Amino acid sequence: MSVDSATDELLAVENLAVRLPGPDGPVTVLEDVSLSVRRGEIVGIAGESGSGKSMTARTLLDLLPAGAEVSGRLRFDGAELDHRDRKAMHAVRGHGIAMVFQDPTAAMHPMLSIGRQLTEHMSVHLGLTRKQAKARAVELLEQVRLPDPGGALRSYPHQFSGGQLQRIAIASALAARPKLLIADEPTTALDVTVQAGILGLLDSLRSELDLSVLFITHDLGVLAALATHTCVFQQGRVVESAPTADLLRAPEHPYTRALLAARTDPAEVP
Amino acid sequence: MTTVDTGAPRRPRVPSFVRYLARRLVIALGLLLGSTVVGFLLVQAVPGDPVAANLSDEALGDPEAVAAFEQRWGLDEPLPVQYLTYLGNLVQGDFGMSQHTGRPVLEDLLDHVPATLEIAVPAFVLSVLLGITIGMFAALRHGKAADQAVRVGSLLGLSTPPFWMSLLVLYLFFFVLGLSPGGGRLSPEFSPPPTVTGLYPVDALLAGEPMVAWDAVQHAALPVLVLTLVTTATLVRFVRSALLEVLRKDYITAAYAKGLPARTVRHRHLLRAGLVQIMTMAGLTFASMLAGTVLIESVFAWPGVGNYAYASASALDRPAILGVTVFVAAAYILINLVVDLLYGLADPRIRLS
Repeated sequence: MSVDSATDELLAVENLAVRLPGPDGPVTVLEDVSLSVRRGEIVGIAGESGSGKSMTARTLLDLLPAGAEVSGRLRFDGAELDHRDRKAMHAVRGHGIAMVFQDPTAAMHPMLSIGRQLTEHMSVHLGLTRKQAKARAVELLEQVRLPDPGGALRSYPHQFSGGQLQRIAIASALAARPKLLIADEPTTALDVTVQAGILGLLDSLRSELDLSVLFITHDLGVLAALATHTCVFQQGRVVESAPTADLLRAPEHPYTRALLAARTDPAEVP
Repeated sequence: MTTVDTGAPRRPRVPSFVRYLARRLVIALGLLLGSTVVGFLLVQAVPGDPVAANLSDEALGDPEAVAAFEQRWGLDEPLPVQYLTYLGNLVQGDFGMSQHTGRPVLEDLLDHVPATLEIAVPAFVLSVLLGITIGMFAALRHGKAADQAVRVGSLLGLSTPPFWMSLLVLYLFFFVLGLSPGGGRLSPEFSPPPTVTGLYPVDALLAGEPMVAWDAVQHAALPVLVLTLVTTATLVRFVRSALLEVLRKDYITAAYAKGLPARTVRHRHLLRAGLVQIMTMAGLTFASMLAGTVLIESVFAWPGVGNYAYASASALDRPAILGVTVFVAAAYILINLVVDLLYGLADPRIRLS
């Protein structure tokens, strides 16, 4: 797969392979994965569960289980990123690449206040004082269009609905000004009506902040209006990678066609 | 593009922590009352006749002496009346007279409880600190050699009978190494310090007798060591499995993904979430320590609650057995109340809902 012009490119993954320790020796979970994300672009990763979508995200953040073997090349923000250099990988976490999880009620710590969870990594990455961090947290909550940001900071996760929490989780992911946001099925656990709001929010944040988004989903249809480019994963490999419009109009790989056929659009259900 | 989420935003409600605590307090009082009923009824099932157990053969042959004894302890009255009499006295702090010591049960308890506290409190503090440290150490190295070593070690500590461990350390530190002064709370050359707290090292220091305090500490060291080992073994296993469960949660992965230092994730996110479970277990452990550890106390001739309970049971001393039962029940209930309070402080879902 060719890499787009170097100035525009934010992330490039080349020939990534990951093997995890299993009961009967190492199991290959990713093989020969290549993809690239440009600045301010949303790239979709589609595939069924176990196809390696989330594994790719975890590899980028060095969140793989102990004993994982990684090979391949990573380039982020104009520099080589050595996946064996844990210190360098961890330096990217939160600040360079941030992540939004599938279930916001599980991804927020139930006993820590929203304010604490929004600001705790600001001091680490941005060196903000408590007061500055709080001001930025309010700003972020306004940016994700959460009502009453000041009150929210003093509240705890159980006091919000799933959609509101996902907005807060997005705000938290953006807190340390990352360049790439990995959204791992961020709307799957939410009501259909709430989903559209989150998708719209991600798209507007992309243009407001010149943010790149790697959007992981099992639902190709979600990507239609959102992602400029889409990679389809099957069994740890990228089986098709093309501009989303082309891919949806004329899917080349039989698996992509199967995915499209299997898709049940909730809007089409009477 | 903006879309309003379904449902009105849920605003934080007025903290109802006070109501939560009040409810717990009422439940605790009910439990305490219930425990006196159960204790009282169970004591009725004590095998043997208290009359036969307490009077000499000569007195047993004398119907007047028997009648006098029965009347003195209210044994000639119907059970509900006996219970209400007991309860009425109990509320006024009268636990009855111990038949085998001939002293008020309350005085006996006030002698024995501090002895138990003297070994239980340090052992509890030590084992909670060790349990959390070692348990977290193992959980963070799940499946690795260090984790396996901790698991085997704690299993060993758990499966070693406490009395045997007591004998072993007594043999080693007293007989072989001569480092321990042996059993009891004080060496015979010292007399107990004037009672303020009932804890000998503290009272001795208050009385300005550092030698006595040091002697008391040396006496307490071995029982504390055994109690700490046994309890740490339990707590380590519990902390390890509780934290392993938390480690699988998304919010821990999310905390790492935010780029927080590992230390912060461990202490602020991991431990905080595990603490609620750990507190429950620690509370139960402390309560069981207060109930007295008969086997440890008897090896070290430690005049604690466990030894008193054992002596009372052997003598079929109903007021004393009941006194210990009520004390132990009260200890469990009080500690659970404290744990509930800490729950509320630690977990906003309890504090604010």
